[in-house]
Amino acid sequence: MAKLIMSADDSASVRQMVAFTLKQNGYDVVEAVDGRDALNKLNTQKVDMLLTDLNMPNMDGIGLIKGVRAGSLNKFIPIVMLTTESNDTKKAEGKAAGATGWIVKPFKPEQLIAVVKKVLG
Amino acid sequence: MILDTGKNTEISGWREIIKPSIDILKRMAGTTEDVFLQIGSELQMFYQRSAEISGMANQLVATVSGDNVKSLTMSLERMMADMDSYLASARSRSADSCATLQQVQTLLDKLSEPLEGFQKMNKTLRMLSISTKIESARLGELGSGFVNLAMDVEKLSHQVNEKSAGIMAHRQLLFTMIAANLADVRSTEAQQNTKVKSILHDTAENLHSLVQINESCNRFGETVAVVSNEVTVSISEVVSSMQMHDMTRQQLEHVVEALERLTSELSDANLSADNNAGLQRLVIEAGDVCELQEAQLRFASGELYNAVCIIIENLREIARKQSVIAEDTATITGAADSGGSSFVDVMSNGMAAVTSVLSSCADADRTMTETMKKVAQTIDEIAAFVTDIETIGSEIDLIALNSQIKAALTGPEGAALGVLAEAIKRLSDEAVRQTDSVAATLTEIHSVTEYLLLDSEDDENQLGTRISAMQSELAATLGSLGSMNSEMNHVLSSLKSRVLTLTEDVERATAGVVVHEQTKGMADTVLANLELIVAESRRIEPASNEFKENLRHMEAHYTMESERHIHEALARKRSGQSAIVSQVAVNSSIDESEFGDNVDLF
Repeated sequence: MAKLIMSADDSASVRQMVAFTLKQNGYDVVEAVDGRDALNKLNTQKVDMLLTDLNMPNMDGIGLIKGVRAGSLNKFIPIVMLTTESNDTKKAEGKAAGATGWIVKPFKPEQLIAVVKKVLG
Repeated sequence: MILDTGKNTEISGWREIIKPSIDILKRMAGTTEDVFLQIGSELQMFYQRSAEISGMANQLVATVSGDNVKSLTMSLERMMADMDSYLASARSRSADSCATLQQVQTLLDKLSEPLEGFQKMNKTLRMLSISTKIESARLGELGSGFVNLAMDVEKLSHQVNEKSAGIMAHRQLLFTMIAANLADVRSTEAQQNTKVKSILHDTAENLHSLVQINESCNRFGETVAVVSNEVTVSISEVVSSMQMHDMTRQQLEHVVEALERLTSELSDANLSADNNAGLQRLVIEAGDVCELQEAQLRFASGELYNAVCIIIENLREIARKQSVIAEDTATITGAADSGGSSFVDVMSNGMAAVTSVLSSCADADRTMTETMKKVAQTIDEIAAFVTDIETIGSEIDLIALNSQIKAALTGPEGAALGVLAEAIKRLSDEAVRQTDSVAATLTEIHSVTEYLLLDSEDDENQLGTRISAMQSELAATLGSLGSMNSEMNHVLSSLKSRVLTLTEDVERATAGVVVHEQTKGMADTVLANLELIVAESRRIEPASNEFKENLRHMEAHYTMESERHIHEALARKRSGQSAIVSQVAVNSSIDESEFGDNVDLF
């Protein structure tokens, strides 16, 4: 059975490219338009991994990570930030919140897949 | 420097320049999403179709390079060897048959002498009959019994004449038949030799082509894989470039934020003529902010423009690569030449010609067997005539004996008749000698033709089976070739059609992408506005060496490394250092991760 990955990003075109890349490699994808939407969905739906942007309206990526780690259903899933942010302070903040990895946009599809395979074992 | 009140008006005018610029930038940031989503949808569709085309090319290659073709090649090689062997034996048989028929002709020539002997015998018998009648008449009553003997002799002479004429007619018939058959055999052999050489040559070439195609297809499979990988790289480039929309949007938002703050700074209160120092600081800041945002916007706009160009180029590259695959596939599989006929068509025609030659060989075999049967039958008929002549000879012998007895009984007056009886006796001996000669020749002919007939019948049966087997195998091979050809043509036609529509769709889709030109136009308008403000502000107040310090607060708003690089570059410029901002500089970070320099796993 294909692994289910959530892609949270306020950019529809980025979500589209992430979903395209993942589906091409045999993963199922569920999308969220911002942190709040993602957290709502993750409270009721079990996923195998979360890919999230940092800067999003309503709830940003750090807030989302904290929310997920504080929850129960997807508490231990790998979470990788997918963002334009490359600031080390922000990365440290993400890591402290519980992020598993950090990918700075623009990413190459093969990079994303390599990371996904790595964190999903 | 003290600013005059006119400058206040000039500075306040900058707000009117910045505000529409902000509107343009907001439009620029917000209106490209739909275009990129559309491109993304089409990318997925093109990718899917490209994968299908690669799959079809692989299928086509597999059809020609698979076990089926290997088996076909082996089958053709075996058939060629069989054909070669068969045709060699056919030529050998033909040569044997011709030699035998020529031998029969020579033997038939040997019949001339005894047949002439029969004719002489006939004349002599008739003369003896007449002489007997004359002598009988001279003797009168004494010779009355000889008249009947003379009539018997005359009758036998007619019979000898009739039988020898029959033999001559049959002999002539055999001559004619053998001559015709020899001509036919030689003509067929000449035609076969020419035709067979041509067919064997063509078949060998086609077989060679098949082997080459088979080998080429194995190599081409790797080419298809390489092209598929190249398409994957193109897709990767597109996916990567598609993200530039989101990045540019964020950069534009940062520019907008900076310009909005500047607009706020340029409020009427701050532009009060009473606050000369504040006004001076504001002019410098406006110049710094606009110069910095000009650099940021120029970079962002350039990045977006390049990204869209890369997207267009890579989408076209995908279509172009698939076109090349389709063309190469058609060439490599030999599916069709410039005339539209495939090597399989050529090979099928060659195989059909082979069938025709084998059939003509079989026909020639049958004709030869029939000829041999007719020779044997005619020889039997001649033998019957010879037997009849032998019987006649015996009857002549009896007549001669009776004549001798009657002549003796007649006494001295019958002496002449005794001489005639003696002559008749010699003729019967001659008849026996001639018939023995003819019989010996016929036996010789019979043994030769019987041997050939038995041989021909055996060969015909064996070769008939062999030809049937070869024809069946050829039919099966032609069927396989036909199926393969049909499948190849079907897949190739579909492949070409798909590539054509893909190319057209990619061309249509990419021709419609003008977002980069539109955004460049919008950015150029804003850049001109910002350049104007920079120029005016620098004219009023030259740039400060404390640029970096003044704009340090802006660094907090940057999310991208490229933005920080631009900021740093401009700061260095203000400090008199190099300010070249390039992609190389932006991407110059050390690769710290096995996944790339933009990836960190904690």
